Amino acid sequence: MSATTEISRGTGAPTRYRSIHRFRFKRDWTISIVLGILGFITFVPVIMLLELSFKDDQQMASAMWLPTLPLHVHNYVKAFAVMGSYLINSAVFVVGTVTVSIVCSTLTSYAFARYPFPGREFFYLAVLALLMIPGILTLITCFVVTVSLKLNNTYLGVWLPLAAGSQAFQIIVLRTFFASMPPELFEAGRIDGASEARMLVSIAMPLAKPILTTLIVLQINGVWNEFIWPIMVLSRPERYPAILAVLQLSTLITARDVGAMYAGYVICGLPLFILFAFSSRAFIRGLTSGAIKM
Amino acid sequence: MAESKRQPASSERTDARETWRRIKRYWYCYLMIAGTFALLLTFSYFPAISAFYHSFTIWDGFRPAKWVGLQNYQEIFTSPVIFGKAFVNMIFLATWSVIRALVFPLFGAALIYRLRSERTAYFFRLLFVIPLVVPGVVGILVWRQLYEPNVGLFNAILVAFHMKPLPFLNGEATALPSLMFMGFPWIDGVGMLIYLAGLLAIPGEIIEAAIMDGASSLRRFFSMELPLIVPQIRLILILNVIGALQGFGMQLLVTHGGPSNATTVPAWEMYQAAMTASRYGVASAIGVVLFILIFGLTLINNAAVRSSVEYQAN
Repeated sequence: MSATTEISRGTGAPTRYRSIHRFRFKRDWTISIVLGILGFITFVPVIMLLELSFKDDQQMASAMWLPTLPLHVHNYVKAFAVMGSYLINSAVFVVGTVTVSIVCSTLTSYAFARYPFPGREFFYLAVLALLMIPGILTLITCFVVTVSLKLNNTYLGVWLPLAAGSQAFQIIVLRTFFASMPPELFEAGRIDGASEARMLVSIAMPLAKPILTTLIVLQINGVWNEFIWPIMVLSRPERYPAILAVLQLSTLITARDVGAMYAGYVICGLPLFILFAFSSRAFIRGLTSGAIKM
Repeated sequence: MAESKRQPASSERTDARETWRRIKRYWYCYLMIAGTFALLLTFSYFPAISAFYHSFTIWDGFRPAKWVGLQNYQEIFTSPVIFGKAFVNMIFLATWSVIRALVFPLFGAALIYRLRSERTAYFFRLLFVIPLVVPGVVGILVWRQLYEPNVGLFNAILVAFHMKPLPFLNGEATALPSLMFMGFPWIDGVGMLIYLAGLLAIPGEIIEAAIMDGASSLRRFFSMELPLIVPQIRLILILNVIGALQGFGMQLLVTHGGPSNATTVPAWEMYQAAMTASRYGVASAIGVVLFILIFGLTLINNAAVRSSVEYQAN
């Protein structure tokens, strides 16, 4: 019902704008209302989730989808007691993957950008070729490799394949950045007697901080949300990351406590929200400035 | 050029010596790239080759494989479930994913682009980006709850309007449309930001000139903005096609391809062939077919990108 009215409102907007072109001050108003309505609908699932997470069973039964008082904050206490260890698992997966991945891609892209070593073009082409290999092709065989190396049910079995999967994107972005740095910078460093390693750590890395931050934020987001790979390589549920634990919350928390289950969903998303609160400006600026395009 | 001409006879030997000298000089570069390539060899290149090879075999993943030629491919293309159902569903889902990624975020971006107040524009950008932090799994679970036939929000609304409740994800006819409707109104934050970046890169003078000439907002959109953001549109297009062909998260978490294969896709059939049936050969073959599809579509898209760039240069 609401769907059709919103859409007709939406497509009507530009035509409407034409007619009020003379009354310029009204222009933002119309657009804001349309955007506001669309934004609100986008948020409905989030609102519902928050609403449900504060309900007890009785409120759930009487008015499931309407806001009710009082808010039951203890849902969150209950959910956190269950989710705590899984959040730690997730954090370990994230920290390990991001560390392995960023260290490798920074070193590789810096070597590609700054040193004309023999075979450089070949290796860079080999990285570019990865863009043509979709994850779905290697998913099953990568799993076989991981099991053959006895890495299933280990941290390395999550870190290394996920880090490998993000190398191409990170190397291409970082190589472009390092290659755009003026050679005079390094010339100056050499005159001052800095070693090659010193120049990477003290000249290149500090300048690359914004782009590294963007890559790290993107990867934290990606690893936190990754569920297909962990479901394949981890067979012991106590090793599961938070994103998989929410799937079993209804059984982990006693089945009657539906509100606590939704509170668990919220808790699972909370770290990403905090991360986003700190990085949203950089994130939006990075994407809007057109740094990422073909 | 001149230098190499002076010593033509020994050029090959000096080339080799020069290469060797550079290898010795830049030896540490190979250490720097060693980590990356160890990862890639183990978890990308080798699995890719292994998938191609094993798609021609019967293989349980760990014991030696048996070569069977094209048998796996034959099975895929004659199977009523994989070919008859999964690939058809995939075409529906991929087409829809492209349409919705092209239309709705662009609509949002065009509206935000028309806002005059910088602050309002930033607010709405943020508004559409914040839902990105909801983990995909949580989003799926909430939507599943909204679709729940007995206590879900949508059926509560339908009943309130005295209409017949729908089975949504549990009904054979309604499951696929329900999957497609998820995420309404489909204004994806990342896509919207990419479109907005394209719109903001359009030189202001062109737009001003068009306004001076009396071009309406709608006219400006279709005659100027749309042609000028073609690179962004193609990027979103290919990202969505690639994503849609590979995705099986919904099937893994909620529908399991059901009811009666109504929502199955090739990627899910692949996962099942390997993880539940231990038929890694068939799974590899499905992976190869998907790879060829993605590869072909990417090539077509790249050819189109090149022509659009040339068009712009003229």
